[in-house]
Amino acid sequence: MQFLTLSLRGLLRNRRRSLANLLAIALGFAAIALFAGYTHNIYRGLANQAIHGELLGHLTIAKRGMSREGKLYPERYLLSREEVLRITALVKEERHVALVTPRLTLSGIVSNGRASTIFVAEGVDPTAAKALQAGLLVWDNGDPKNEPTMIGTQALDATKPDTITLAQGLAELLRLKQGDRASLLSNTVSGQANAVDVVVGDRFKSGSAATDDLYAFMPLALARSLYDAEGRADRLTVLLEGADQTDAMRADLVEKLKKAGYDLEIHTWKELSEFYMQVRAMFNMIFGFIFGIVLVVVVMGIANSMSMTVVERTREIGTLRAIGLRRSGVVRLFVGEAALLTMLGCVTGLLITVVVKYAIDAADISYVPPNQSGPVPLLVDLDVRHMLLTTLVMASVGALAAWLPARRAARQPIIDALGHV
Amino acid sequence: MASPPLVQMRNVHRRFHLGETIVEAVAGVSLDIHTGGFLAVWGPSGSGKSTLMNLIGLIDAPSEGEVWFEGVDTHRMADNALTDFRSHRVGFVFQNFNLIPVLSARENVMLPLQIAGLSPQKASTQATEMLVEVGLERFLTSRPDQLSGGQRQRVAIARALAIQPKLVVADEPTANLDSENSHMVVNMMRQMNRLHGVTFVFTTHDPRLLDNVDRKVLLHDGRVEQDEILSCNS
Repeated sequence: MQFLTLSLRGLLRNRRRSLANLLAIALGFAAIALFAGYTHNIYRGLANQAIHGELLGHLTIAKRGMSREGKLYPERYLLSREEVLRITALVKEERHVALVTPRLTLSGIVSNGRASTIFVAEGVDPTAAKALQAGLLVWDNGDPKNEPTMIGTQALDATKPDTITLAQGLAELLRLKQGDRASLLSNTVSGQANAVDVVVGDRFKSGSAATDDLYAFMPLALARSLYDAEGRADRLTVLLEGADQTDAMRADLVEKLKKAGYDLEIHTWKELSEFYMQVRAMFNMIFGFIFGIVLVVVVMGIANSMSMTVVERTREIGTLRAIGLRRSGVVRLFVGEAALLTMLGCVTGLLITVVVKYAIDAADISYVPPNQSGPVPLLVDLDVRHMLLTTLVMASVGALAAWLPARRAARQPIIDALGHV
Repeated sequence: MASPPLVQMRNVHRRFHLGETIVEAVAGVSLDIHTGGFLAVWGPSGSGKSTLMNLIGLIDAPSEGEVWFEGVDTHRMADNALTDFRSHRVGFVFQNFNLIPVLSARENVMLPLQIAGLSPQKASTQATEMLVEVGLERFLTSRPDQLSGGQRQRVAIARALAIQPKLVVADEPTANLDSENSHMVVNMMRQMNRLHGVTFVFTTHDPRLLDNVDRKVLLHDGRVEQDEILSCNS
């Protein structure tokens, strides 16, 4: 059937109206696609920050109950040296596992000799930490060399066991610079006080205003020494070859470690990164809101345009029905015209999206999000999945908007349609 | 034995509701139309000619009475079945040509063929042949607004004949044409009637166009006032 020709030429009859509709659809599509691309970039950045920046890895293995009561009774939930070695060996047997490393979190007081404040420190193996943070995308607008100032473990060195790194806010609070000495005071596992002297290796941005005057990193050996927990760890961090393997790997490991006789809890990075999930939920809601508004505009535009088109072409509908076109054929004709208009609008919208995306990227814009300690770049991804979904939904909704007036036109008696003036 | 009529109308009435008034446009018409005929329905304005044409062409249903086509009671047919039935048997020529303005002459003639299920290639070939037959070989790709009134009506005749119908219904095909083009269109229909054996029924209020018909039915107030068979033209 020459329906496609008829639909296309039908659109060209009233070019101004079709162009106005096409632009409304294209701009709506571009708004959705750009926002989806922006959120995609944010999600990607946050995921990267959680997995590599916060050293969460993809999976975290701990004794069952650690996440709930670990802070109250740390000694009860620490993994023994044997457990650390055995579980590490079992996990490393799995394909797609890039790294398994023990971790120990502790808190205490840090002093520069004149003033003291509390700290929360991550004890991490320096070599493993470098592997965990390798490839972390770091961007600092104020640094012409683009130095990785957000990598907190960069200055940790296995050959310098007393060197630690401090979050920028914490270092500024105690006026500690690179190379300065400080003292750390903490409780051991058995509740005894213990203190060590350390050297400030570097300062880093924690990325969050809430933690920037609190966080520190230290070598795992130092943390174990301060905590008097030789060979022990409160959890194991697992890094996989890709984030898409996370859920499947968790399921495999749960079964495998249970069979090996361990009662453990395994959390994914998403479960541990509350911030990521909150941001995602918020942006998803905003996206839904924008998507809804654009859809309403598109539906109203197409429904209005198609209603006018159907009235203008009533006699033509009568002629087509007289020469043998079924009612369903008339509906198909106008629905096809609306779907074609929507598709063309989406293609135009895609072109606008690509142009605006590269313009934004090239403009090198940065901003400081709420509760962040530094600026982040404004970047937009091309989110193909959302663009396809948007095209599909818009074409379907556009076709539906045309269906009602088309159905009404198809159902009128042929002689009434032929006599329409 | 004589073949049964192509169209049989038995005591057909067609009433329209205009507000609280009921207008009877066709009032008890019984008519047999035989295959191969060239029949003119004529009469003054408001005599019910167009309504009768709609009923004969199966695009309207009688309020009372029966219309049989090739021995089939069309009153009992569902809309889709009637549409398909019509698309293979009846061609239409309208007073205002009713060509699709965004399609070329050839594409307009292709329309009923493609609706009837022909491939675009076959439809294009047949449409071209029909347009050549009505003398429009130089206007295959012309849009209706690039053609004169007479040429447009010839495209409409080609479109009506493209599906090789049993019957062509032409409602006032000459109403929007000058006398020269009017005679040309009627002569062309007559020529096609003789060449293809297609039955033609057309309406006119111009008695000068009735010279060439082999039957003329005079309609007055929705009733057949005179049904004259002109054997000299048959």
